[in-house]
Amino acid sequence: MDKALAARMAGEIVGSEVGGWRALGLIGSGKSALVLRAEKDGQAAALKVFDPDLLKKYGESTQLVRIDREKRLIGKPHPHLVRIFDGGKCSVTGRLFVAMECISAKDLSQLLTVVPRDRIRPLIAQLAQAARFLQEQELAHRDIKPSNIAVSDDFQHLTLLDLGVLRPFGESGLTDSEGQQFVGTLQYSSPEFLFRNEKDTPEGWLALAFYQIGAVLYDMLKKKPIFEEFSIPYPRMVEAVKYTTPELDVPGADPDLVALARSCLVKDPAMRLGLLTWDSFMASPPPVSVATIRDRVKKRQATAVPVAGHEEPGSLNRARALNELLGRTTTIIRDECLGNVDIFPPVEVHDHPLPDVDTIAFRVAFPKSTGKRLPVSTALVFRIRLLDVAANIVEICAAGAISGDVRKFPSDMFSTTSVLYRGPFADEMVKARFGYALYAAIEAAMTQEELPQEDARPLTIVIPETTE
Amino acid sequence: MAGAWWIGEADLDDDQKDVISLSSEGNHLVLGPPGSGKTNILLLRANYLTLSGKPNIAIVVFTRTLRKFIASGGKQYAFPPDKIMTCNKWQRDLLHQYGVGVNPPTDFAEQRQYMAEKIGELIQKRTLSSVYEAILLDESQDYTPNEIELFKKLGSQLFAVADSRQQIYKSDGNDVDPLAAIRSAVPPDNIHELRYHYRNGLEICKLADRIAKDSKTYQPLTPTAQYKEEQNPSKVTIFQGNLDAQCQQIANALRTQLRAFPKELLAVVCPKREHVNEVLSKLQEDPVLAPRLCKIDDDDDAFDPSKPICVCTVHGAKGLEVRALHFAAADHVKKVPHQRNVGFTAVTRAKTSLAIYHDGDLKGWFESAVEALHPPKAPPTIGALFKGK
Repeated sequence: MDKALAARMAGEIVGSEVGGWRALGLIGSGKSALVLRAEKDGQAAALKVFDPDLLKKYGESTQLVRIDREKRLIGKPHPHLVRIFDGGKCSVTGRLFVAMECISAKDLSQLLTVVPRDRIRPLIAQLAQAARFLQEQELAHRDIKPSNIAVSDDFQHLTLLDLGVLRPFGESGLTDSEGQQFVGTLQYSSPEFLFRNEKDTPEGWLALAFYQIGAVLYDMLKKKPIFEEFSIPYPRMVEAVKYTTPELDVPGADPDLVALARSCLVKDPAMRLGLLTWDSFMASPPPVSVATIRDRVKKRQATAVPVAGHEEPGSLNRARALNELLGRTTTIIRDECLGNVDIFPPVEVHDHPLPDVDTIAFRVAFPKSTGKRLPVSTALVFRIRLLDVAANIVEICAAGAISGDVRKFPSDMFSTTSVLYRGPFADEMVKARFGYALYAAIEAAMTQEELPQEDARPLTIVIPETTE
Repeated sequence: MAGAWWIGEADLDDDQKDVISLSSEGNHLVLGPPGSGKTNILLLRANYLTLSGKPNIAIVVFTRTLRKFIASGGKQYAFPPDKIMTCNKWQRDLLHQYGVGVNPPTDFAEQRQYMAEKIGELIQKRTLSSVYEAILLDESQDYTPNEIELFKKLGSQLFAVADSRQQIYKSDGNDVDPLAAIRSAVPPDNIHELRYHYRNGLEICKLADRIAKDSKTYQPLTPTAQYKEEQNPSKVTIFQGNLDAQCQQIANALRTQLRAFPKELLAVVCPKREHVNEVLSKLQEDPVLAPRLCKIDDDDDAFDPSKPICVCTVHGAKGLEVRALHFAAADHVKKVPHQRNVGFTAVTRAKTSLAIYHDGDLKGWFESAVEALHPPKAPPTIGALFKGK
């Protein structure tokens, strides 16, 4: 609604009551409603009052259904979700209203450039808690974005706002007259939601929530709105949402968070769900050993692997991406081993039979060494599957074996495979995980008995999950 | 000279330690790829023998390069540098010592045969045996069975190092295992393998592997490379043009490399001597480079640190290792015997930077080895098809 209309409407309402709530002053106005400071029985609130003209145009019943959905949250407070006190149709004025918690904080879209780097992880965790709470109530927010998020001045507390387009799972078409109308914000929509291909199932809405949280995380990491450069004209934004993998090179950013954002922003909802759980967003520190390794590898200079664009589909593109992965990963491993010759014996990197065209495999082997107290020759086979070319999503598995002779590692020794990493190929992350596997293999092999020259056997390497 | 290949005790890997601590008796053969420390081991062995009271040794090398290295190494050796001789010099000295006059033919192969026959006669006539407590043989893959036989007779023990892939001198046997002669002189248990190598960057290893892939028994270099790419990323480049243009390009690169790699050896090698002379005279026209050029064939004993740029044939570069190598007139490698091995020896002189220059087509094995340097071409985008002519 325009300013004049808002002022006129505010003039009518301020000083009177709507639904028993006394309006005290205007806070602001949105597309379809005013928000006013209000009070009832000593309880302060933000009172949202809808524009009657718009209601006539789009139907009062639709809005009432939406208000009823918000009211499901009355009496179910969550620390990171705006509280709903009341709502419905005022029996006196006939106006539609919602009374909710009054939060005096700036919204995140105004704060992107000033959020301290070390607050990003806890704020994202709070946002995820709020979204998870809604998910558990079988409600989809559908419009998570920085302007719907309030953050306290000290960046300690986050509140998810605007529950106006809440959607209960699986209630499509019953009373909701949305039809094909787009609800939400294009710029922060997942591709499937933009094209109305989202699944009306808990998984479908979960995939959307992950995407939108990822977009918020992107904004905080990059200090600017996602796809900002595609805002005009409208079709460019649609194309970007559909095809463009957002560039996420942020010097000095926590590689975990960059990888998390990449996983969230994967275009394919099924793959997105495969990469993430709610725990992925929690702010727990990684296990100490991995942190130690990561600290060390962080100091090394990293070269980012450029993300392949969508313009060059096809098998050659995939082959090139795989080839690049092979070069990058073997370099990471060689650098780690050759940079720590006090720990590792000489390192060998051999070809390993490939299971399929989407996978590369190689064997890293170390000869037994009395000086290094390694009683057996030790090898690791790494298999790297490229799950998504455009987003550079990989799955890295590792399997270990020991042998009496570094020249003799039968390839069938490497059958017990554990997943080392699954997610976007980010140098720092992958380095840390490779480092972990290498040290874990050496450590496990150090406690083995010597083997005869001709003997080889599998070696179990325990690889803990990282932050998940 | 900085960056020489001498490694300290702490840097030895387990294979190298095993070889050094061998018993002093019996003949030994140490096999290893380029940069695996073979020559280093040979010299440590010479030290060991000298220090254990066996100073009567001969260290026989194929070219003067090693002599220069050792003379540059200074005090690390317990033996005097004159213990190191090229094979030819050693043969002449021995014959001279016993008063045998020689008048060898000029052809290299004929000359070798002639000298071997003369020494054979001398041994028989004087019933010589074990003139030396030990003979230490570098590049032993390059000796003929006859020559090996002489070494066996003249040394009470033989300590040889070899790399089958680097046989580049014509020998009398055709297409036979270049190591057969030396292997037969050594009991199987005394053959030791150095598996790991430290000199060549990965890009150079990959190229060398493609050059050598014709041989079924060849062990590729790439899997066992211990080169630290992180410190000095390796690079291979190709340039096509006539020899003038090649020299221009080389001169430009060398001027940069003198600054980028101070106190490190650099080299320009050609398969054929005539090209070496031509390149040398071209580079001498450059005022910056001229005073820094070093001819391997000069008689000075040591490398002069103020002349870090070696200009020589591939054969003359045997045993050399340099930070940056320029392989000029490389297309002519197809005109020398053992062409693949010469190509292999040439490229494995380079630690970090290798530039290959050619005028005519490289054709055949060299071309296909070099072609793989370029990544597969991306398919053209639709847009590119419409962009101008």
